[in-house]
Amino acid sequence: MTVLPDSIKEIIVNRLRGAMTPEEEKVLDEWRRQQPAHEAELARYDAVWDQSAEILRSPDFDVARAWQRVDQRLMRSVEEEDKQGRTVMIWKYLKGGIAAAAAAVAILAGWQLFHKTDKQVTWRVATADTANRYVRLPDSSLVLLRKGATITYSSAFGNRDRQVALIGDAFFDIAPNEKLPFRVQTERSLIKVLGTSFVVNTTTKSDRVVVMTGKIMFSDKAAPENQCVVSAKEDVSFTGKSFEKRDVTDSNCLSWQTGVLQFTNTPLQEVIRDLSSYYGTTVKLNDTLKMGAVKVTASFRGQPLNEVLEEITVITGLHYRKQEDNVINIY
Amino acid sequence: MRADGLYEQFRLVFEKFYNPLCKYANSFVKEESVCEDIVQEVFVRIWETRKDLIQSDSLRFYLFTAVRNNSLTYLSREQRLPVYSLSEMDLEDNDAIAEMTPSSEETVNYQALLGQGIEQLPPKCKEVFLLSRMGELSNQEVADSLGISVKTVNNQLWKALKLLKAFARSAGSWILIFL
Repeated sequence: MTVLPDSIKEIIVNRLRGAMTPEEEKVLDEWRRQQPAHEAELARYDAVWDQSAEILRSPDFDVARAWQRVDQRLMRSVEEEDKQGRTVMIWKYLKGGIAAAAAAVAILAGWQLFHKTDKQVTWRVATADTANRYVRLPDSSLVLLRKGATITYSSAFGNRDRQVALIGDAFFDIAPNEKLPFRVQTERSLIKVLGTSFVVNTTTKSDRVVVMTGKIMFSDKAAPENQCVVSAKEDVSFTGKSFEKRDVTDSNCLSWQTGVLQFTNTPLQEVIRDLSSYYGTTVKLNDTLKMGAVKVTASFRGQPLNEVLEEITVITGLHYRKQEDNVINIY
Repeated sequence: MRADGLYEQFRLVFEKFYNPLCKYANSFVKEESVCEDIVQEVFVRIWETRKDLIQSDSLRFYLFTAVRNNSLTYLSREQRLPVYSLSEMDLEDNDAIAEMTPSSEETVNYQALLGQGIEQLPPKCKEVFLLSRMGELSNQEVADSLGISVKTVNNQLWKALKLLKAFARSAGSWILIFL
């Protein structure tokens, strides 16, 4: 084995580092000429050095995905910087909303992997944090988000498809475009439309779609063959297993925006469903009332829940009681 | 408002250095997801507080030093020992060559083998080598980053080369290099 003098060692390192001085180069050239073995030795160091760069450069981490995450975080901070000014398409993030936004991104992410589009896809997130909020999508479709709801779509929205992920409740008025069907994904289901208006309510138990105009295809995300066409004036709920269809009897599915709850000879069972959904409080009936004999005709506009309950109990001759856990019982 | 040109430049820097920085972090912290978090955090902080660095010559130096410090901070917060620490240093241990033994099946894949060799370098030697090689930092920058002298950097690099060469030789894989 060749024994190298310290001076040569240092020069070899400097040479590989691109920091060799002309004087050092002279010394090294001298040494290289002394023996063929020296030349070979030098070549080996070069090889180790070059090859190591290859190894260290080989990509192991998903840079594109990481950039998406960073880009997403920075958009948030930019939004904080210029809060005043823009109104409609500001990307808003709630403290609690971040989790929802992340979940919405997760809903879309699987799809994104499937349809590999541009490398630099970023996510647009719109959240209605303190009040209901209108969002105009790039294709001019209009979305009305209920307070607490979030939609997410990619920066490529409208190029090859129109796809959004929804958490919470929203009303959609979709710009017609037969070539690019509009899709709404929730955690549970997939809604495909060509151009129509409809309302989606998502809860932990079920997704509910009420169609105002046109038609939509409502399908199970896990089993797409499990599907159902919903037409205008129809109201379909999906629990994860089966679709339950009924005709729309009132327009209370949008009460969260209009503030109006309207009942026309509506079975009490449905009345309390709408009340629960509007006030975010659980209202229960005792078993005999669930039979559906009691019907309600009344209209409320932005009244507090106890006033509404007072009125209903006066109309029906029933009573209500608030339990400790805030659940309301009608009996 | 965001200066789009600068943001684009920032993105290019991210794409260029993300992988080497993660690997560098990974030489301290075992969990790859934590490494990614650390590196992403460093980038976010640069954009939020030190945009001026993006166009500066010292960006690389800053990135690698920040990732190193954040990795060590993470470990100390988690009360875990780093994969190696800088204090227990061994400048001249020639026994190291004997300790480095390539596994017999790995005679074909030279690159994997060399990767194995790098893994087995003595701690300080490995850090100097990674920082020089991944970060393409100058000897002066490596020295500043680690708080050691330029002379030590040079010595450690030499040692790394010597050990890797010996490692490759003992695996009998020189032929592959010269193909």
